Amino acid sequence: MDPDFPLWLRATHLINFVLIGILLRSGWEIIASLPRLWWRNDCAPGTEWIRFTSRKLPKEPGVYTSLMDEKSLSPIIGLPGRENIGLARHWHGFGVMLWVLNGIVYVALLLGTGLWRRIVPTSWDVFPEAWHSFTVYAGFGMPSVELFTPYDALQKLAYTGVIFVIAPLMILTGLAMSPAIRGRFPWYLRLWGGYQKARSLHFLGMFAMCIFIVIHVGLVFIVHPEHNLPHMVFGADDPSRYAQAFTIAVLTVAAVIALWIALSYLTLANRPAFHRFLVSFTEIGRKLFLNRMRPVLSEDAGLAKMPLSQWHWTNGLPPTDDESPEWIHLRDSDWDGWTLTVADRLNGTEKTLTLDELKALPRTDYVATHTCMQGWSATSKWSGVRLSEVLGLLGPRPEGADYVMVESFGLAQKMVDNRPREPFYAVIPVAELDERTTILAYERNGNPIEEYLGAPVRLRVESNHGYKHVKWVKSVSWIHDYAEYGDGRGGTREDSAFQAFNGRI
Amino acid sequence: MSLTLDPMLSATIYELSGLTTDMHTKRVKDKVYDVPEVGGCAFEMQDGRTFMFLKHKSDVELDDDAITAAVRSAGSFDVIGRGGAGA
Repeated sequence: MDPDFPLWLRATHLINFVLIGILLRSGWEIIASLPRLWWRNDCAPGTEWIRFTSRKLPKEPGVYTSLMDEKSLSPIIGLPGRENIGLARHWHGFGVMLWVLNGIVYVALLLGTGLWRRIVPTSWDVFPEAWHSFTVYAGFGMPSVELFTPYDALQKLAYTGVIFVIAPLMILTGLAMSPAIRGRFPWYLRLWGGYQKARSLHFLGMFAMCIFIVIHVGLVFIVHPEHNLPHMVFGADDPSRYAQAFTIAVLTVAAVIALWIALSYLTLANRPAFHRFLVSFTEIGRKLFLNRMRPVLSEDAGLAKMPLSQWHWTNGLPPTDDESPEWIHLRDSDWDGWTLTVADRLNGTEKTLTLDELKALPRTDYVATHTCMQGWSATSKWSGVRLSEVLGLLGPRPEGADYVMVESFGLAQKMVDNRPREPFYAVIPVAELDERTTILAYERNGNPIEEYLGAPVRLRVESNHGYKHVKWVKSVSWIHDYAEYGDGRGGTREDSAFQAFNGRI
Repeated sequence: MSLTLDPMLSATIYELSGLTTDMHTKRVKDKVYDVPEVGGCAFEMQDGRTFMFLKHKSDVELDDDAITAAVRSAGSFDVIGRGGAGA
């Protein structure tokens, strides 16, 4: 047995192979949901630096939804495929948690055993040597086997780049996608130049990783495979076992690819079950790292002058006559007669609040970046009343009221079984009422909220992605448990698109 | 009073035939979104009937022929009825 290729090294390598496939395939499903990337933070269509769709979108805001941009991937390519961004996000989270854990074990053992010395260059000579290898490959040649000790200079540079540059870049830019982290540490997003820059860098990191994988796997099988494959499979420098190693390696690769594809079809065959499993698993990470992060007000973070976005996408259009004649009538009456129902569903009490009464309550203003789980974002100044203040009109929190349900005049865009659409709703846990950026907003950028963004009043929960931010709010209610409403997953997007109840990443 | 000029939206409702699964609605939706002026698309299936709700600006009349062609191009589906806004 060659001590340079111990079991832990080969095991973490194989686990990494399985997990990177889960990450890439679920990531492709996520990017397919909004196949456009920007450097600027207002995401106006036509200003993206790259897009993977031929669909031309109108320049006028509020006449179409971002869901129009969603592309359906084959389950052979995406995980799970077929426009399931909710489940893709959970698979991504599942893959990330295990991939990071595997990576920590790998790097710790790499450093602890001293094997890092054969990967990380320790001499400037690595550059001319790597150039030499590159010119040999460019001439369709093969560097001499003596140069591989066990890696040649080009490999050292590539492996160091992937392990210590690209992988950390993916983790750090991935964290910038979290509304909870962004809300608690606004400077972190600014460090990356904004949400869309972080998203674009995450994409470029993925692209670099894909290039590396293709070249890496290709060269393993082309350049001195009689040494590489016995190293990888048996941990031995024994070319006499090449045939065995080759067979095992090919069968392993085929099995892993089959597993990746099987995960897609199994997920699609039973979406509710995979939603339960994956959300339960990823909730461990949210509980450990994200749930305790409470957003700070923009003024406190020195962000009050953050540039406001000129463009704001939406993934739901205002109610129409067939959905809510009541909302249409109120809109046409300049919201005269609009009331908010504030209810206690546990004890059967409620009261109503006019728009003027709502605006008379203590006001909160802040600047925040709204992010949709699809990937678009927009920075706005929001003004409104803290939700806790509104619910406080009913008195102290009722015994057993662990959640707040917010319902809309608008209908769901889709029910999971295509049954007639029901009113859009979201549920938030009581703990989020304590956040100063959980408000019922009635102004954006100093003006009444636009109709397409939720007029006259919408929910803002800045620690969560946009699918919790109910537009065209009709009522807010104390409830005991969200399992008693809708399909029991805690909101319209959770019910129909299998998003997680906890929208903090 | 809103200070911004929001587009007024309406929905046009079509009854479709041949759709039985979620995959079918996704295929139709993808094609229909390519029709100019369509801004939102939703489906309801009940008692063996399928309705498609298309949102668009109120001052726009959707091109029925283009909608029908889009539905047909998605598979063995067809438009068998049409209602106006609020129908």
